[in-house]
Amino acid sequence: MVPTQVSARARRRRLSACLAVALCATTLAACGSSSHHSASASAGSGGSSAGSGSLKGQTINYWASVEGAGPSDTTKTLTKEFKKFTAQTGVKVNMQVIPWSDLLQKILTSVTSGTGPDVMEIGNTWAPSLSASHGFLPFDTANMNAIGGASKFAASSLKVSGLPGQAPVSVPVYSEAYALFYNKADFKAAGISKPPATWAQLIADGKKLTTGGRYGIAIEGGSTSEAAHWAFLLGMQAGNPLYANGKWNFATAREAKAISTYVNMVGSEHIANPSDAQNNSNVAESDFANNKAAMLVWQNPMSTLAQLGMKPSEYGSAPLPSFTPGATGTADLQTFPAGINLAIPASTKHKAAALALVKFLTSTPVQVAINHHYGTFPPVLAAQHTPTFSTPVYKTLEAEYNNHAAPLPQVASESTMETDLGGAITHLISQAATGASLSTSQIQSALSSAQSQLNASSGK
Amino acid sequence: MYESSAARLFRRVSLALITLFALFPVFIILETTIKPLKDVQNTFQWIPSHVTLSPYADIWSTVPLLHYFVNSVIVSTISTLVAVTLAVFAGYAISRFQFRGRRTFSFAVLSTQMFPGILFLLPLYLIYVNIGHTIGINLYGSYLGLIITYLTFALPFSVWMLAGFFSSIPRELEEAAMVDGTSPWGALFRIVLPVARPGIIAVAVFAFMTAWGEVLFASVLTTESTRTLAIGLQEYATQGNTAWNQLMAAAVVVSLPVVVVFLALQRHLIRGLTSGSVKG
Amino acid sequence: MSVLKPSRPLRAAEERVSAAAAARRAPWWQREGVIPYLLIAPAVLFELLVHIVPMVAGVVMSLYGLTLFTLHHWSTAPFVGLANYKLAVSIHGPIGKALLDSFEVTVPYTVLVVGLSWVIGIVAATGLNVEFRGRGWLRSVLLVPYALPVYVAIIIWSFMLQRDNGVVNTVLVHELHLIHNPPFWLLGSKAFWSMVAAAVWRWFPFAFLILLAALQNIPTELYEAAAVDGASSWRQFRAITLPSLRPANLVLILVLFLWNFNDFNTPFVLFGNAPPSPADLVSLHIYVVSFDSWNFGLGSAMSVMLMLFLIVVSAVYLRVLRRGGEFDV
Repeated sequence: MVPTQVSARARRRRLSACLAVALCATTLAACGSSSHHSASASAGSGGSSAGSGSLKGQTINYWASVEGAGPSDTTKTLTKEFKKFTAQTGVKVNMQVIPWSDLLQKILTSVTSGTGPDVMEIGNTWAPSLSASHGFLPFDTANMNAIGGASKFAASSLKVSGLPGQAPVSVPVYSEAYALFYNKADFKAAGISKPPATWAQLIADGKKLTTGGRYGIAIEGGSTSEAAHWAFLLGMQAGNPLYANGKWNFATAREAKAISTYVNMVGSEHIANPSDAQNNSNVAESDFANNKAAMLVWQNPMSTLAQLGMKPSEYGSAPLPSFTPGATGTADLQTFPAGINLAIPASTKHKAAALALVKFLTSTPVQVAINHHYGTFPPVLAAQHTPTFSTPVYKTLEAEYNNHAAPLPQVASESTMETDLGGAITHLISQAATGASLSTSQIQSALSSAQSQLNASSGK
Repeated sequence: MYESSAARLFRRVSLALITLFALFPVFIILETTIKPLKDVQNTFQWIPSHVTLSPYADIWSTVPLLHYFVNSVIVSTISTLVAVTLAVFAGYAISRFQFRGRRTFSFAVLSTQMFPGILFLLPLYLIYVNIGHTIGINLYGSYLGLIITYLTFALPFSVWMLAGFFSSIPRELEEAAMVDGTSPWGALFRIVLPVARPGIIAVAVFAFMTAWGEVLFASVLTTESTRTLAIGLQEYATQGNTAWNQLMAAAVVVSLPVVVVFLALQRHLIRGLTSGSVKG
Repeated sequence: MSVLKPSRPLRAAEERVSAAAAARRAPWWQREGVIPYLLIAPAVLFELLVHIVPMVAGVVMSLYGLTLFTLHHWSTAPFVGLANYKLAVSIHGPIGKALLDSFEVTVPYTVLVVGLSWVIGIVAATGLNVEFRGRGWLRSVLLVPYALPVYVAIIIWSFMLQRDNGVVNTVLVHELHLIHNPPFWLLGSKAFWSMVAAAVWRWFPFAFLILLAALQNIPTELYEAAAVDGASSWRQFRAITLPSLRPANLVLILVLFLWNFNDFNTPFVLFGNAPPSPADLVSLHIYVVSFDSWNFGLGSAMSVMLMLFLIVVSAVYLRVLRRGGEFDV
């Protein structure tokens, strides 16, 4: 009577609960399997690929970094080119755009797990670290010839493609270089006839230009990578390479003096806004575009400046200043070869197709099209010599890149260096910005503790 | 309620201040969305130089926002439903039953909150990849992997919280029902759950927001087709430029449905005065 | 239920019989001994898969020299024993000292954020526990900071606190003329307070949410009785509200403590990978010093140490505060 009624009810409830759970599980499985299907379709294992010469019908995966005006822009630009690639070779390209904040993470997990795309874009400063991980295909003579040979690239660009003495693990595809950009109207108004060629001149000009709420120069004082880059460039110019004789070597008086040029821009020289010490999201570029500063030292800011409403006629470009007039050799170092490289993970199952895509992306017409759109310039020499890339700004950048460039230290702990040394310098900048005056020895002791931290964590 | 005028004044003033604190940054966000980019990069002004709604239009084209929004809704909703269900079961068990391993289970569940995510990210990813290779269930780059991960993230707090809520509901209720012949399961579903509704809603909100805003694991476990909003929002910052006004507009657009749902749900955060099932 | 009312002894006997009958006929999934395990089984499964096993793997990782060079073939990484731990613990070495400094920043940060969030949460929850017009709206409005995406919720503070362009300095310096020189809010020691403000703004709605739900379990008759007895609102709060919220508070404060101690997003979004030392929270610190350079062995060792610290703190907390109460763990 009572018990059976209740247990019947309870049984029905149990049944409906079971059904609900089963429904959930089925939904989950369906979600999983449908995206599994699409994932496996795009994982490109058309399985095939056995046929050595024929690439037709394969699908390969490509990871793109965010370039140009944003991810949609990147997708549009590359899709256009990839269509041509498919028409030529019959290989389909499945691309994903990865935001910068995630890219290193994704590369890391891809290397560790042996899964990943067939071709990926990487920041070229990562190339030495990635080379040390042995997770990428080296561009030995055979592979290099398959994409057209090493000589088609600017020599300096290949120096940043892996570890020295070993075959590069990546090849450059979009290139950038530092240069000095200046506001023509401001210079005219201050009576400065030409851009400064030495740092002393830059500081003097900066003082003249710091007037009426506008500052002489804008710097990205909160960015550790910018700070590390300045440390490298200034150090090399002063004759103090960051890395020498198998160890880090920046805790010297010479380096401290060199880096004080950068630090004191917000400090004792007062040619940069103290607030620049906070900058860590490309604020310096927009400050320059809005004429809150008259000078900018940056890599290829041209397309961003255009987006921000600054016309190319409003600014001029010049090579990076040096410490002494008429300097030559490394004392006249103007940039390191910056930019994006292409790398092929060792785990790829479509080596021939991947190489074909790299060859395609480093061919002259594609180099011209993409780089022009992104505002970068091509590392491929034949593409540099086209009219598109022979404007004054591009000529400045290319001359620096081809002839006055040296790579950042090509050691696996380079990225740790950027964090440690860069972090020490941004800390100094924030001290200078809040009013402390920094002596060379104070700077040197900051560099010293950064160096010991770097040595400790990289196991030296 | 019987409260003194001093108490009433305190209540009003404190609520006003708290509301101001809560809403002022929101006001700034809203204001930024109707300013042109130039305004945003210059000194702050209360009134925009000219009001523009173009950020609200541009956000859809700069970044595939709708696609990410749909992904986030799917992942967050499903993981919330499953997490709350499992947490109800487990919380009830902890609260009502003395079983062997109860303490261990509770403390193990709590200890998962002490581990920084970056550390078990890599092992988790490797496990998922291996499961994919061996069993063929693809947990990487699929909704399933993300859902499983997020529901597990929400579980510890949900279980603890619900155990606490259940504990404050007197056992007499269920015992009375079971004496009448209801099974323990029936007691749970028909007696306890309705009374614990505010707690369940609160926990559901927490589980949803956990999944909605998680960044680290999403960055690794998603591909472009399954990418969630939390990651996608960062795409408004390119290498050259951060489109602040668009970023804020996107934030407003994606938060609006969440706030609307909160508005609908907040009625359930309070128990009806007519329930009368709690002993006075 | 029977309609007739038989005599009491007969009724009691009937109840005993039917209860026994029900128990005898209960299927295995309804037996008292089995039910709890069934209830926790799915949760246990997911926790093992997603939390426990990877965590154990993480602990194991800390004993290996898992760096950039060995990551690709991680199964062949060298076993280094406690070397990573030695590096992290030696407070005279650069790494150990920096880690200790970071701890010393994280503790006051966590205490402040948890304390302030809780106080604001409880004031708001009790304030909204009273009927008045528009309280439904206000309940939702106060949840908005929690409803915003994390990235935006934090970046808006970075936005407002910019020295030149931020609204805070615009108001303080140019409009109210309270301070002459616009201060830096994101550099130096003020960065700590900016971080606290952003975190409290994000977390108090959560505390509010949980406390509001917990307040519903307190019968209003208790308050009415106390008011009749002449107790003031404050007295009611102390004598009725707080003790009744004890189980909820126990959990809430503990998890707020753990989440904020481990907080990575807030400092990362505010400061990137170079936080000012007065605001160097331990989770970001570990990331910058180790994971950023792919030194997973070192990073795991530091994380394990962090976890041990938190386990000790939680164990002490639970032991001290667990006396009595309905909620027993």
